[in-house]
Amino acid sequence: MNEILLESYDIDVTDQKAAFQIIAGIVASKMDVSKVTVLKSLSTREKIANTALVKGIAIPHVILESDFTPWLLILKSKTLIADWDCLDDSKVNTLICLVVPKIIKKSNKSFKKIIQIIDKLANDNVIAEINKAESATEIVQILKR
Amino acid sequence: MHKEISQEIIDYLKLHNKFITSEELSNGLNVSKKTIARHINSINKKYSQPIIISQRGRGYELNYSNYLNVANNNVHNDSSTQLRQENMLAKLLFASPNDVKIYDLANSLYISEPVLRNDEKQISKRISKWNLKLDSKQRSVKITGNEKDIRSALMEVVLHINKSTDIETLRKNTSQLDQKDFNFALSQVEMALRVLNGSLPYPYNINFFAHIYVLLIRAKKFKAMDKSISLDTSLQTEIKMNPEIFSICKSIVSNVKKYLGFKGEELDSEVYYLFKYLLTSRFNSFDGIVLDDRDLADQVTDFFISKVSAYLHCSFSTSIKDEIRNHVLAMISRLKMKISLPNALLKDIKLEYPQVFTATKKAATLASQKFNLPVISDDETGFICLYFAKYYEENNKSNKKIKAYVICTTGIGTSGIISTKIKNSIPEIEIVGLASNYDVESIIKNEPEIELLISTVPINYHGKIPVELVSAFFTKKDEQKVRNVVRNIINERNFA
Repeated sequence: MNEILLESYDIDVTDQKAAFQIIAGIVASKMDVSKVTVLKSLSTREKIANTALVKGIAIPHVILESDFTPWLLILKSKTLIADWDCLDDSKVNTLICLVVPKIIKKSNKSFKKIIQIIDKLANDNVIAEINKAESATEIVQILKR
Repeated sequence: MHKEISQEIIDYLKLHNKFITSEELSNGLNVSKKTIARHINSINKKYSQPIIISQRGRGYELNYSNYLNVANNNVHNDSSTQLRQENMLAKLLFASPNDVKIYDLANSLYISEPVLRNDEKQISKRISKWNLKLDSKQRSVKITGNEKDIRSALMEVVLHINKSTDIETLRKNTSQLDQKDFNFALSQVEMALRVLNGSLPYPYNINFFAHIYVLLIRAKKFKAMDKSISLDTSLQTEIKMNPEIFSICKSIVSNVKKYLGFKGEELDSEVYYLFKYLLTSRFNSFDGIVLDDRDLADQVTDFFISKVSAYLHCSFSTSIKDEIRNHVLAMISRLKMKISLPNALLKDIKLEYPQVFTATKKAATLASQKFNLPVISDDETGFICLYFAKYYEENNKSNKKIKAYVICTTGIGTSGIISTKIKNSIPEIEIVGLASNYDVESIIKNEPEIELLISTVPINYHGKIPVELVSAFFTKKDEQKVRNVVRNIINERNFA
């Protein structure tokens, strides 16, 4: 099982739209899906409810119709994304993007790992560490622990 | 002239409602004692039942029941308006909630309709003190009001029960023919006191007796009564809290049915009236202890509580001891005196609280061995079980966690984060699962025990289960929101 679970990129964007463009580009390059579809999914989810958490962290969702193993795309922006507010009024600069199929097979091994990783975000200490991280790969290390 | 003196004697006796010496009568009516004796003799001869009782040394007294019967048939002898109205009132009370035809009333009372209409006004005034109303139509008239008030009115109008009445006075006022009913009613009161190991303080004993007695006469003449009482939910709760008293009422009504030779179910709602009456009559004072078994009751109660707690894995607070002990004490007296009290709720108890009943039964078997008591029957076990069940349910209600589903768009993203946070911050919630908002409907269908939905996204669900919308990170504000819902759910449970 050599499946992608965590991908990481350092970026430099100042608005949500630009960030979504980058995510769409990466996801489209990795999977058999068009950039437009990914963009649409990202903005649809964001319209339903803000995925930003606290301390600059947001977890945008890419929800696709096809069947695949869910994975995470970690992006760290050098500058703050000015038009994306967290619940604590901080600006987003860390994206932990969830790429999942619409229908999730819960028995899947990777699925359980994803859940474990996401659960870490419920821990304030982990959030603080991620917030201090300098690069996307550093964040991956924190989440993998 | 002759007629008038007879009527004057009757009216005089009626007014005083006690034994009057012939001397007093003679002075009061200004006729000789001989004349009075002669008239009373002729009055009593006129009717099949004597309406004036004479007792050596005490004088004369009106036998009210007989008098009313007579007055019913011979109203032309009765010129007293007051008495006629009383007679009419008794008729209407007995008939309620049915109506009485104006034609029948006017005929039996030998009066014209205008007079009758005037009587109605007077009666209407009189019954207002019991919250009863006279409902007068073109061709008929009836008394409306609730059954309890009708009974109270009957007690006063027919039995003349007032503050100074005691059982013996009542007996004296009861005609020979009704003595059998009287004794029967009395025997039921005594049975209840014996079985419940209690005493009824005055005047409740009189009222309880009168209640049974009125029930008897009313059941004899009219079988219609308001049955809705059996559906009263607050009463149902009271029944569960006082199963012995309810069972006694059931026994009494079944005795009444036997006594009257009734086989149908017409009288079944009487159980509830009787129960309601006994509840309000301070019957809960189990103070008429026949055998001094207080210490034994104490030990048996402790034994029951420790055994039932162990079987149910439930620690009952010590505060329940005082309540259960009184009932155990009454039970011990019944066991020792070999009085059996059929438990009217036994079937329901076994159905509704099978675990608690089994536990109580096991404890009962051991208790009768340990304390050398006669076998504790299922009936008795059921009573005790109900007291445990009450607290067992309360305990379990507050301990049971609220089953919740956490919803987001994916069922793994934000729902995962907040469910971990919920687990850590609100222990009252048990998270049954995470789901995507596409699956909400099927989840609710498949998992009917779900009590709460917590979602990070607006969901399209409009059912009964509360939905709490929270942010993706479950902030303090969200936590407060969910805590409020949790409190509401727990309150509702305790209320149900």
